Amino acid sequence: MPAKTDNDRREVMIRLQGVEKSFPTAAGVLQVLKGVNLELYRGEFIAISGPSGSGKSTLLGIAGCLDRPTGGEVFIGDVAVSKLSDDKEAELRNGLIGFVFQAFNLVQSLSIEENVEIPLFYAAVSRGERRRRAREALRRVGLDARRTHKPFELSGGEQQRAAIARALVRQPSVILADEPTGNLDSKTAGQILALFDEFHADGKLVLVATHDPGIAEHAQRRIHLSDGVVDSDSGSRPPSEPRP
Amino acid sequence: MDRLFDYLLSGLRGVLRHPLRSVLTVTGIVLAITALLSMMAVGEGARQQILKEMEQMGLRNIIVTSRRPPKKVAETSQSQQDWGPVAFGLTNKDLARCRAILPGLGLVHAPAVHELRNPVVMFGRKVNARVLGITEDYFKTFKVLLNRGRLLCAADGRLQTQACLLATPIPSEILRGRDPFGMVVSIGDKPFKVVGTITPQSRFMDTGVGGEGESGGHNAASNFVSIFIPFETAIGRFGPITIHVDQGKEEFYKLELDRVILECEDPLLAVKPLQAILDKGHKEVDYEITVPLEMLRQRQRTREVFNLVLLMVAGLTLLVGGMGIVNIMLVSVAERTKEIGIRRALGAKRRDILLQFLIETLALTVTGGLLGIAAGLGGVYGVAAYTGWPVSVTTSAVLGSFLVSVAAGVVFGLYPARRAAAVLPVVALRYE
Repeated sequence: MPAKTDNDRREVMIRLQGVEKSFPTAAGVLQVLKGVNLELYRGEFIAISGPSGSGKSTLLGIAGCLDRPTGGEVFIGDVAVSKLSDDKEAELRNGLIGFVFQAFNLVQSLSIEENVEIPLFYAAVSRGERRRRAREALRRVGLDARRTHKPFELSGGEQQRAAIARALVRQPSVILADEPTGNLDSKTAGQILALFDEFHADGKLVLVATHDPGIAEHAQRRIHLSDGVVDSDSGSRPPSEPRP
Repeated sequence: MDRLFDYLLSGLRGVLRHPLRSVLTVTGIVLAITALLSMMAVGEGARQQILKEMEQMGLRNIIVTSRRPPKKVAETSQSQQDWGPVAFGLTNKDLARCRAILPGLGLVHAPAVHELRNPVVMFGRKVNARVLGITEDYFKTFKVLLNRGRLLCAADGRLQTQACLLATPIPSEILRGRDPFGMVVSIGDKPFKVVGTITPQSRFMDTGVGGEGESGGHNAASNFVSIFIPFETAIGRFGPITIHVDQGKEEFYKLELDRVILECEDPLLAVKPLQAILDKGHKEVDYEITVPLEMLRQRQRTREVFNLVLLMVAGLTLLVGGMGIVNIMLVSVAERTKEIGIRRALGAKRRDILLQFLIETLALTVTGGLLGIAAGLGGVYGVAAYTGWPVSVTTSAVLGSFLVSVAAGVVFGLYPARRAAAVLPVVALRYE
């Protein structure tokens, strides 16, 4: 019997098993993911890179329960996502996963504070508690003073920090970020990365889909996608090990 | 509760986000609720008015009125030249037969009226007056308040006294501050002493003298006096011949009774036997039977049809308004697809999105409903003040209108809300 590896001892947060995803198009069926197998562990900082159309965002959406695969299975912990009801999936997204998007995806009609409160609202947290926790999250990303502002009154970097505050406010175990620095200058991108580092330092899983080689270099584990398949995976290491 | 309040707040924000659009959207609902409330207020007002009128006529009464048959008119001049006055209408024999037969069918009283058309002089001036010769039981059927003096009694009839009663109010131009009690009124050159003044408690048939409300003021407004004398005096002193002046031409008729009022326990039961009694004594139909209870039912049926038409108009307006709301909410769902995606990604369940859009629609329709109620109340009372129409706004009408606006919100908001809830989060997030 082989000896247990470090990976065997660590907690698998998300497992993708033969995941396929295809879309019907006018030109026929477009196969975006072609049997992806991945195990993503608690405490990892992972960068998924690859050319445009390689399936990074699709993979992130499926891993974050925003979308369902057309083949294979996704496990969150030990739970097969395909067995979950729509409501349970929503609860999973709300409690376990924090999303950060390239386009920030803040609700323009709401203030920054109200945007940060959204995940708490769907978790049925009382209004007073929502306010308190939203302010705390905004303080953490340095936006306390801008909490009453509307998103369009903020710079790109500030909007992304607000989006990160929103992702963190429920204290999820996983952060999924799709091109989080794609719309930002390098200095602001550095600030965002520092926030992810903070989150990672808390022992959470950070999964970033990116074109940015800087982020890829920064990550603890690097996965490269090409034409819907994982063509390289630097592999998982325990958090104690230095970055490659 | 906390969440519901938040949804409500979010709904109101949705309404206020596009104020002009919201106003235009709810216009249909405002109009529908205005129409609905107005319909109910006018309908209820009419119902109460009909009921009041019928009650004043007496729902237990059957009123039989003498009518000149059409061919008698044509024959009149020729007949008068040949044989003198033409006789028609109800007779004392009819009254006697009714009084003899109908008690078995619940007849309580059967007062009769003979109206005189002779000139009347009061305080030395000719006045407009209606002189009614009434049987002694008249005031048993039509209740009066005796202000002063006494009522007419059986002895007045038997002795054919020249006593009379005046109904108040008497026009002030006639009285000029003088006391009518005890004075002498000249009716067709015959002196009648005023032995009492009365205030009607119910409307007297065909006299225009009413007991309550607007009919009570009819006397004063019309500037005429109602005078009651004993029936026997009217017939005995003046005879059954009446003179009609039509376009300067005198016409003579023999008319014993102008009206007979049959107060019955069940007028609908008594009306057929009455018809049979009258048919026997009359070769042609020279009388008219009015059953206020039957009239009430007919008018209620008419009102129901009228209400149904109004209800359909209000319903169609509501439908058109509702379609506008569905349209705008679908636009709103399309515009906010990204927001739906964001909310779904952050943990909103389908029912959260459904509830959010449903409450936004409700906020629109309830706002429309409240504006409609305000407009309806303003309109109804405005029209009532201007036209004098009877209206009645009941709590149930206001509550009903409000509930209709809530129901409209649910009905018309459900489809867009379901569309919003069905949006897939990943698709919605890609939406631009």
